[in-house]
Amino acid sequence: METVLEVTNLYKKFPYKTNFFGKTEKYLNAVNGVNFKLHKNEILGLVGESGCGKSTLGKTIVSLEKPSSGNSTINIDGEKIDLNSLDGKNFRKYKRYIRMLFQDPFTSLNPRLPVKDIIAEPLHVHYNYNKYQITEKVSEIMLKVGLDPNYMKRYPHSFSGGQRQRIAFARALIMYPKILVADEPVSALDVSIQAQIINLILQLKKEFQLSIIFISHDLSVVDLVSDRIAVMYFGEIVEIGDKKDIINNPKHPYTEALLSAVPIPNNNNELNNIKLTGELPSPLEKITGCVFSSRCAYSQEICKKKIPEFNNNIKKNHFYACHFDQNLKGINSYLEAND
Amino acid sequence: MSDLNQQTHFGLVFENFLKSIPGVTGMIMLSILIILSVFAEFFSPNNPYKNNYDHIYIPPSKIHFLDENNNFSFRPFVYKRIEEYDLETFETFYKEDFSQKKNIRFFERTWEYKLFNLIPSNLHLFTLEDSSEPFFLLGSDKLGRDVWSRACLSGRISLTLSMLAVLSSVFIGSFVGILSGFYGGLTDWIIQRIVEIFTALPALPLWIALAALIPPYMDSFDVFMIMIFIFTLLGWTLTAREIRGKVMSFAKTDFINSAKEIGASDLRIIFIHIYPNCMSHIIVVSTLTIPQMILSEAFLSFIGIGIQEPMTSWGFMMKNAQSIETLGSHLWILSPVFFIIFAVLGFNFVGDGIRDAVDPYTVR
Amino acid sequence: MLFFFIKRILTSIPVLIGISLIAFTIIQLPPGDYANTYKNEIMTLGGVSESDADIMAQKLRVKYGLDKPVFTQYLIWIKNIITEGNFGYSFSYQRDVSELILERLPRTLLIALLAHAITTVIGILLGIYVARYKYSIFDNLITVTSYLLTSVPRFSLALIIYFVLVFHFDVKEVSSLYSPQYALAPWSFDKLLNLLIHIAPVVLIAGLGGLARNIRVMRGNLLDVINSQYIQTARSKGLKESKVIIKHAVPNALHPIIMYQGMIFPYMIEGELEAAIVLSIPTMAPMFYTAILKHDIYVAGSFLFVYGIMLLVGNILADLCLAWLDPRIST
Repeated sequence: METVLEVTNLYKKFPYKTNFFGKTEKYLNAVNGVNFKLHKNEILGLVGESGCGKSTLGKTIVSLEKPSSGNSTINIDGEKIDLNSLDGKNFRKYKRYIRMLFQDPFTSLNPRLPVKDIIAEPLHVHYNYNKYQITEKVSEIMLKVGLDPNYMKRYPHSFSGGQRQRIAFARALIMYPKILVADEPVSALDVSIQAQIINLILQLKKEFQLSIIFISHDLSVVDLVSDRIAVMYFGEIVEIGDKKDIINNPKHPYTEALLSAVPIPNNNNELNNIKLTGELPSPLEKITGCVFSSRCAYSQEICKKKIPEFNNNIKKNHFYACHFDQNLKGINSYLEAND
Repeated sequence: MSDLNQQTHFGLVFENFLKSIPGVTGMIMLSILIILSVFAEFFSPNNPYKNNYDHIYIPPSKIHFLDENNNFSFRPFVYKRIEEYDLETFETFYKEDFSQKKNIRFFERTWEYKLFNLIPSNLHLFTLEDSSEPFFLLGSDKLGRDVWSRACLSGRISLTLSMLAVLSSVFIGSFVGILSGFYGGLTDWIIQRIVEIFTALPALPLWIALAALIPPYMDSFDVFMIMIFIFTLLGWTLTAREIRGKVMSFAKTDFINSAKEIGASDLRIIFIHIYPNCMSHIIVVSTLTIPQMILSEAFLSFIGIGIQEPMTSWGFMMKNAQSIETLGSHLWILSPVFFIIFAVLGFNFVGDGIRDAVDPYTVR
Repeated sequence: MLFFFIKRILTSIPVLIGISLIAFTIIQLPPGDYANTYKNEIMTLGGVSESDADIMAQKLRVKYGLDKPVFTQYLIWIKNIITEGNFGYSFSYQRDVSELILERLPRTLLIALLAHAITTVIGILLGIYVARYKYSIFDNLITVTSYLLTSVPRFSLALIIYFVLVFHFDVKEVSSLYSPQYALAPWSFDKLLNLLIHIAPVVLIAGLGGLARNIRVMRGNLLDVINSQYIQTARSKGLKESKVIIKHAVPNALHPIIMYQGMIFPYMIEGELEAAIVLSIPTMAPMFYTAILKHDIYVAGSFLFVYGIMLLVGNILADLCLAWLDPRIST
């Protein structure tokens, strides 16, 4: 499978506290050494709890933030390009291939611009089209995302949440990128609209031949849409593999806990989820040992001392960071419901 | 979706504004003042530019609708006044001669002037039929000029000076504020220090010191410009602070992030994304700063600093009231203060109206 | 907390230097100096010939160091201030400026602080009252009156009060601080009372505008706070309404007012300035005004500097108050 995006050893730290002279004393470690690949035409679901660093990871990949160390390269026509190492003109030239979709459709659109200008923004920035070409292109893309081009002179406040997210899609796709990083695209929407947007994503992926990183905190949504799933905890990827492997055969205790916590509708049984106890490590300190050890139900002495390496046991594509190889089907109501 | 949704933000705000009573009242008040100022000569029965040494310090004329027999007449009139001396205090006072009635006429043609300095005209809204009788709505001043006419005329300088001063303050201030809020970091820190130094300066004493420097022989237009400069010197800081706050509040929101992600240049982000979203705030701050400028300019002119002859402003007209004897005998010299109050109220009302109109959280 | 205080003072020092530079520069801007004014005066009033007047003016220049380059004059001035507290010499009053400052500054401060205190306290109380009885006739009356009060230029207010005092109440001592019998008398309660009566008009004028603002701001804040959720929680606990407001709402609404004190104080100073110049009360303001007109540079510059220091100190105090009340700021 062709690799379209590769992230190598990515770290991102934010200055947390500066002393009187402006020198940084403490850093907030948001992304702690992330490695993964994105394949062509696949949807990789990136799932994790709030604050685990998945948004930051997404922003670093699209160059909204500069990585503290490590890099992410995209593969364009055989060339490997690191966006963060490019300057001005080259940057703009290649930036069109990877786009981001933002979480909140209510704040990601400029309330003062008509929808047409919002969608056409990438065109204004990168190319010099005349009025008619712009109108044409905007109409074209609006139809593809399921919006009526007659409304392009309206303002965002006239549209519903789901429609606004479609506008955001139109803006992201108008230049036909190859990679889309979608940061929680459905989290701010009603459940019924979520289904529509998810279908839209799947349809657009086919039509535009996109490779998508789908960031979410909701495992059930990720399950619907992804081909592969990566589980993120505290700035690190703790497990990654094909969807079916992850859901049916989780190997990392955190993944197991996530799966068990998914509420099942129409289930008369009580939710028997694994309750995580223990303290979260501080994001300001360097972590010794496994990042999950303080809350893991199975943790042993070695977990606190030694950082686990990525094991790859069962299938070729399934990696997880744990010292032990366990059969984690214990309490897994989600799994049972979907069997 | 109905056509209602096609409204621009400006349309929505304007609609809201029309619902606000203070806003509309303020607009009407300001329009009246502006009309009076622009067409000052039309509203003046007497020539405000000419000194008239026969009519120094004449008290305001009393306008009647009922005559001494209690007959009502639609046409207002005045009685001829006779000068008399009080034998004890040697003060002059005026008694009305009820035998001589003088009517007020409307839309008469009397003394000549140039509308907008271009179009010659001699039409006036109201005059006295007998031009030998002194007719002053608000009395006359030290040089025999009609206070009412001069006050209307003064509106030009007082209003334009304040509005232009605020315009330039806001222009500079918003620019600095946006830079400070958008870039943050070191730029912000440096700009903040500069703003601090400027805000630490005592405004009124500084203005007095600066305005007193203007040499008396300087050309009127230059004086006008320098006054604007002086007010702008300290005035920009307020806008800078306000706009910085506003920009910081939405600089991290997603639509700015998305513009950055698309690769828009900083300049584009500032002008297309940030400025329009600050605009309503800028307008509110401006309209609420203009009254302060009017009051400050009035005080400076009152103590004789800044505006000089042949220019005139509301504060300047009251200069002679500094001596208590003059004020005691000729209280009408203070009448321009009503114009000031009217203007300040007008701008405050409009400012409040706009502020309520752009704020989506106020319950109508 | 102490650290915050020190940091605040340290950041004020460059500001202080800036103010002193600006104050001195402005005074030096107009062409010519006091020696010129002196020369003109002795020529017109003393009938001295031009060449003789020139010589005398030059002697004056050298005597007061006016012939040195401007920056040197500035440095000398600053050095004198820091080392000796010597603010220079007033040519027109023939006295040390520091004496004049000592004479006038306490009066300006007294008036400004009194005005500040009264408008703050009364403003807050009235603000609470009108927020409580929102839309009542009292509220509307106060709103209208305060609106009007902020619209009247303070110098005209001063003139009207002057007029009323002189012509209706036959007061003859408007421009003085004490009635003649108390002027040189030793301090007593009566003398204090007399002083307060005399400065009452100025305090009133300086304060009225600020009063109006305080009421509006307090009312607005309190209304915002009252509509917030934790107040509704307090109500649902069954507390009496007045207790709810006083114990829970007011402390939180006060917070922005304290922040606002930094802006009220300069407003009081300006109000005092306007009123004092109009009524000729012997405080700093009229002396500053005449010094500017007469080109008495050390008086004008030092007074400007002192005004700046007052504002700076006021700001620091306001920040300290705020930091003390709100622990978020000092960390």
